[in-house]
Amino acid sequence: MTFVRQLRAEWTKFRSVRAWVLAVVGAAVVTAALGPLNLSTQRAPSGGAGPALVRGPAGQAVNDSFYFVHRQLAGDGTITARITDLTGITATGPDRVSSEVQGWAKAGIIIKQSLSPGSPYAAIMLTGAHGVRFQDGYTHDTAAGSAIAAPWLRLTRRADVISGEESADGVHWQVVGSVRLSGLDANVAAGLFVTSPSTVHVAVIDVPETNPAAAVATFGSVAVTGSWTPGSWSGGQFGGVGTSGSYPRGVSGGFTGTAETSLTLTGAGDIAPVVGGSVLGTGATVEGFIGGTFVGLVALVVVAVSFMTAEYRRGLISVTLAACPRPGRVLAAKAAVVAGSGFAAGSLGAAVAIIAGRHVAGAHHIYTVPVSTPTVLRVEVGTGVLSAAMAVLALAVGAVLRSGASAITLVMVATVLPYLLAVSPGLPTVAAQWLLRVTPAAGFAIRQSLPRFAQVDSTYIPPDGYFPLAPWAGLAVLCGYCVVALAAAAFLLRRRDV
Amino acid sequence: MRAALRAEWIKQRSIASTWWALAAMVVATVGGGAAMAALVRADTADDFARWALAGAMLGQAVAAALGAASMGDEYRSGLILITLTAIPRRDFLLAAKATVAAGTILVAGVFATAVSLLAATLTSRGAPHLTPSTALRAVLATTIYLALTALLALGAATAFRSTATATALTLALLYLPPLLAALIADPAWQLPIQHFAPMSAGLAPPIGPGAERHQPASWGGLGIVALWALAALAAGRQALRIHDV
Repeated sequence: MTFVRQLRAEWTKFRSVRAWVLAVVGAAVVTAALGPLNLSTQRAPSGGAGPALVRGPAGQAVNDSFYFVHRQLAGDGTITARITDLTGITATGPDRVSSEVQGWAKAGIIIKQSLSPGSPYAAIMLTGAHGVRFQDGYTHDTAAGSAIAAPWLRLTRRADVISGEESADGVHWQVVGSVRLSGLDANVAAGLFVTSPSTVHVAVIDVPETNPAAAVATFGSVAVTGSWTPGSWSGGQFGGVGTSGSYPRGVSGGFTGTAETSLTLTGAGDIAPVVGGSVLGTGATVEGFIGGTFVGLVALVVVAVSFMTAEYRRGLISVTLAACPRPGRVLAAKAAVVAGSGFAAGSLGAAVAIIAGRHVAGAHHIYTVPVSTPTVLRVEVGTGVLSAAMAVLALAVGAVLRSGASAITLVMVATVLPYLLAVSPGLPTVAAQWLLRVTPAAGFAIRQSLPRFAQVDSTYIPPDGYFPLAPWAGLAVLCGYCVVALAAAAFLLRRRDV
Repeated sequence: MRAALRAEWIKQRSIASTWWALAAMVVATVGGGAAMAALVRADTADDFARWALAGAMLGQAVAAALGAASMGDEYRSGLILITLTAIPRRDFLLAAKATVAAGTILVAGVFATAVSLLAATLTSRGAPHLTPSTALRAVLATTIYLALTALLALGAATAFRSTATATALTLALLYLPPLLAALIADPAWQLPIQHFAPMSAGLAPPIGPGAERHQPASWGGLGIVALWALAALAAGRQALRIHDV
């Protein structure tokens, strides 16, 4: 029998059992409905729709919050300044502060397209613990090669190109980075800025704790060239404090001094993408919308195991193998049938769940963390592949064990339980991350929609939705288990009499 | 009734897979607990007992499969016809199966949890102050929990007349509510799920807010698991009466 005919035979077997078809349809429905239903029970946060998230140029959620001392620059020009001091004001308890500076506190020079939050920018800055950086577009971060204390910084605009340089003495300059901001207006807002994210602690028992923090920076030798709007520098907190910043009690943004001598700025907030974890607070996420996947997967596992073990239960396997004497081909056809059903149920369910989830979140005034379209597509397709892989794994384990109950137990214990343990607060992060690296539960990484950035500190831990492996890498681990199980099943099918 | 009990006990002990499953349950419980105790720094005795017996989260799956198989496999092989001919009083049959399954799990469970605590004391990183009363309570409560899990699965298998379906349903009921609870931000919905879902009620897994206030396997929580098991057995009894076989 050719593979296509075998596939047709297996498909007929599958679709003619009403319970299996209903279970697959049920899996899709549960995947689609459970997350949005869950969400509809949630009450809107007190105080309205939650923080209005700023969207960056690529549509992702960003923070664009800092203390800004600025003037308007028309056409080409430069600003030069030397940062002589960068310290912090970090709350360490109620009414207690220390002068600790956050690692990603930023002080430097910025050129912004406009004074609306989320607009394109480029900046050169000194950070609390990561040296001089050139950043643009909220996500791009370039480190300077050298480590200079109290560096001179210079930001130059030439047509569409903004470049940042650093210097140890104000004479010899090194380019740190440059970027072309196409469509940049002739008039831009330019000046000095200071900002600092709040603290992020990962305590022993993984209870994230965040404390307000501000940064204080002193700028000397401020000099400009080019055509600047006459008048003095004006200062103000730009864009609130965002999701990851807050001023310690009694501290507010501001600046003292003059550009001729020196300027001291105090600021809090961040210029960076929004990430998940403790800094996010309560918001709806794409992985929350597709929470029903777990229930759907259980149904798919049962169907896939039964599809195999039913052959043994009534002795049908003898007939099947008589009709197609190549066990590998039978197994491949069966795997294709359950993989196809699983993919359809998973991807359709996820697609509907995400649309419905957004709708429900909007109706309940719960803000949704914006994610890019490729990420949404990856989650939708990925949930389909995840469901297909789980079904194939279940089928193969069913063929190896030939007993429905043992196969279901083994697959559930190997997939759902490690994930459950890993997302329990209390398990040490290292252990949780290893569970999500080496067990088939690694495949759930495909659900992660929240980004991770080296230049933003957060609690990137499994309970907050962060997996140790990249989405497709995690799924590859699960597929690896599938391949091993399929190989074992094919080997045993060939060796056993029936 | 005594004859039914004897018959069921002979059936149970003469199946090789029973002993394999019991061994798997002990290994899973002890291994899981020892691994957890090695990873987690526990500062209080309650905390230590909870992590040392975390292997029960794994062991309960085997207990459920065993409970489901004791009834479901009768339907699979057609043995149920002979069994019902020998023991025509169906309530007796169900009672005998429940007694044998629960008894087997109780004996194996006491052994598994006691060895778990011992092994965890050896692998623990912290300095556990385990008082005899905490240890005794933890061992007893976890063992009873495992037995109730088996009864829940047995009831489901009788109701659905299939080992596979019953195992899947029981495991879903055990493992999924904590996962779904973690997705809900609203504590008004989260807390009832944690109170009434069998695993978080009976085993107090460290999930969600207030988990740290849970004692390992509290008696009140076990009552809730017992209600689940009773409901499943009642459904099974009803199914046994309705269907001819």
